[in-house]
Amino acid sequence: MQLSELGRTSVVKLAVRYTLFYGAILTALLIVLHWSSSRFVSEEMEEEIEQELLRLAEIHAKGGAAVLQRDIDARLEDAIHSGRFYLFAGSDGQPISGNLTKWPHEANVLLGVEVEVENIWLDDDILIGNYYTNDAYLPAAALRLRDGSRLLVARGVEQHDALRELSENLFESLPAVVFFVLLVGISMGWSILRRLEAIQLTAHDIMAGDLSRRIPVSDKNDEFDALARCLNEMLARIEDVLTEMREVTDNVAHDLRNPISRIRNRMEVTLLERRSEEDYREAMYQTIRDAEAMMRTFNAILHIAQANAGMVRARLEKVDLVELARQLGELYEPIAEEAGLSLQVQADGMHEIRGHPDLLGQAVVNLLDNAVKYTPRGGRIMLAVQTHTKGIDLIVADTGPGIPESEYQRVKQRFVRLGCDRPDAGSGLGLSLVDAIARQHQGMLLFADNHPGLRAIIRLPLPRGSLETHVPVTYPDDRSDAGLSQV
Amino acid sequence: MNILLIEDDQGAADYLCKGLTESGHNVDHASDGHDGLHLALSATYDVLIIDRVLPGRDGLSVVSMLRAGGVSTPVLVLSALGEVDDRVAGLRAGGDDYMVKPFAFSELLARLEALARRAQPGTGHKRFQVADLVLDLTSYQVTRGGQKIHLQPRELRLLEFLMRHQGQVVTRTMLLEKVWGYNFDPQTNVIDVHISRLRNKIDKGFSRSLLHTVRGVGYKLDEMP
Repeated sequence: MQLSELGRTSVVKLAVRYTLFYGAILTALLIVLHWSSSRFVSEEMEEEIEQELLRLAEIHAKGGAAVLQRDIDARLEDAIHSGRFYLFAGSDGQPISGNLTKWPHEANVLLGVEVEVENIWLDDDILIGNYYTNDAYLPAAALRLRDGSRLLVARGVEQHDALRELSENLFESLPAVVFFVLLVGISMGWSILRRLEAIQLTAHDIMAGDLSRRIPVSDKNDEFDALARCLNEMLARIEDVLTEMREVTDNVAHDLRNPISRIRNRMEVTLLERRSEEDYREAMYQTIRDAEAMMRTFNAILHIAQANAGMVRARLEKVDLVELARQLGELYEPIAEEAGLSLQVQADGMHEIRGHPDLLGQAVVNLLDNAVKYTPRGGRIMLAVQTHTKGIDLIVADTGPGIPESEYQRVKQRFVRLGCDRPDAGSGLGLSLVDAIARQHQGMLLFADNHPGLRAIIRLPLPRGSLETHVPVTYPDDRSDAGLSQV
Repeated sequence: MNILLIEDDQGAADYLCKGLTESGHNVDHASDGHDGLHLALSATYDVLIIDRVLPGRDGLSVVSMLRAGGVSTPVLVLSALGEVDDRVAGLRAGGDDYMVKPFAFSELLARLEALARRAQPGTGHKRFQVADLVLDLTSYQVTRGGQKIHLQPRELRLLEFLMRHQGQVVTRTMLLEKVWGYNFDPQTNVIDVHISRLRNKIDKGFSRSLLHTVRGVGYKLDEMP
């Protein structure tokens, strides 16, 4: 991964933008903070200076010059370190007491009636003691006392200095903060880019034809993993559908080869010599029959593929399974009778689901076709609808030879014909289609032993809320849950 | 019948035109939606065959335009898509029947004749007769040669459909669709058994058979085979 590539990522762009934004806000905030706090400090100081000056003037007024002198001396004991400056001077400006050696010239301005704090220039060399102001302007106030002597109070600005130092430090650290934020942003961008790259690599592999590739899922269980899992599920589904399609193609090739070559050979043989019109017509009829069978196979394969791929999803209707069973029972009753079988329909009450009426009908018809075809004369077929806790069952039970339990799964596959020695063996697609239709309705195709015979069950999920309206039929054990009394 | 075929697949169109002409019909052919719509609006046809996927203007929109223009000629929609929901879309657009490719020509022919017949006035008949077989829909009575025949409700509907299309070939798929209302395809010969039951009741014991099997296609109720 190139650095320029990193710069293009939205995360890094976002990080840069936020860094600039926050840097600006931080700077503005610091400026305001510095300005307001320094103002606060100065106001506080001016107040103190004024108070102190007035208090000293009061002491002078009450006790006279000597008391004031003592008081100032006492204050000076600890005042040196806290940066306070006092000067009690005679009317000529000669210092009497205090820690300044000379009346500062500028302080004359302050000797007005009004007590006011101004910044005046104090040289270090007029200070007594080890305090240094570095020759600075210091806030000060002065007063001419009643006897004409002068009084000056000033304050060192070390609080100001501390504040300035703090602000300067903050301002100096600003670039470092910005740099750090940027670094975090870039590293975040890097990690996101790395994970996206994993997805991209997988996508490239898949595009190159390796459909089995999946996006790696980390153990962080974050949104990227959620996305990866989701995409992986999608990929699995796509792979299923494609496999399905490939199988269909194979199946078509496999199952249509025979009738096509049969048609071709019949035509060739028919043309070998001159025949009667009757013979020609016969060959034509046989060809039409073959073509019809091919079409039927073709359509069945398409149906299965569509159902498996979940394509026929739209347009679900309310389907009354009892009505469906009764009508199909009526449709099949004559053919069952012709085959020497009794067809019984056991469907009462209300069993409604949302589904595809034609497809469900096709599924039941396929099961009935099998039952009629494989049950020997004198047998019985039962078509039933039952609701129980596990779902709604559409059952076709017969007294035929049944299917060995080991073959239950295999018969659902396409083109598997168990009775392939029979002359009337079907396309081998019937049960595959039933299975596909059941799964498309979120149900399944089950088989059970009918003792004797086969019990084929299309188990469909209960419609939501149906248990409240229908009394579910429950069965004592799993075996009997597959059906009712033996036919 | 005057038939308009709107189909862009030249091969399919050729064999349909040939087949329909040899079956005694006049066929006009248009190979795209615009020409087809123009022809359908400018001439009078008994039935239209319209492919769903067409260059220029798709089949369903041709049907919608025709219906919007007050043309009520029966339309049979052809489609290669073959999904159940397409059938609904085709019929909703104003098509009268729907067939999925690949289909049998005989099936197409039978459906076309049924469509054209339906469009003719006089379908509100309450009494049908073929030779000496009479179906009276007001009393649901069936007689043959004056002799009363008892039919089950479904057999009655089967006979009614055959009577309405007397002289025409009807296919097993058509019967399953129109009499039973199913759009799916049983592998076994269920319809044949129903027909043979009906035949037992209306033809057995009479010198002349009226319900004929048309080999490879379906059935026909007629005085002559």
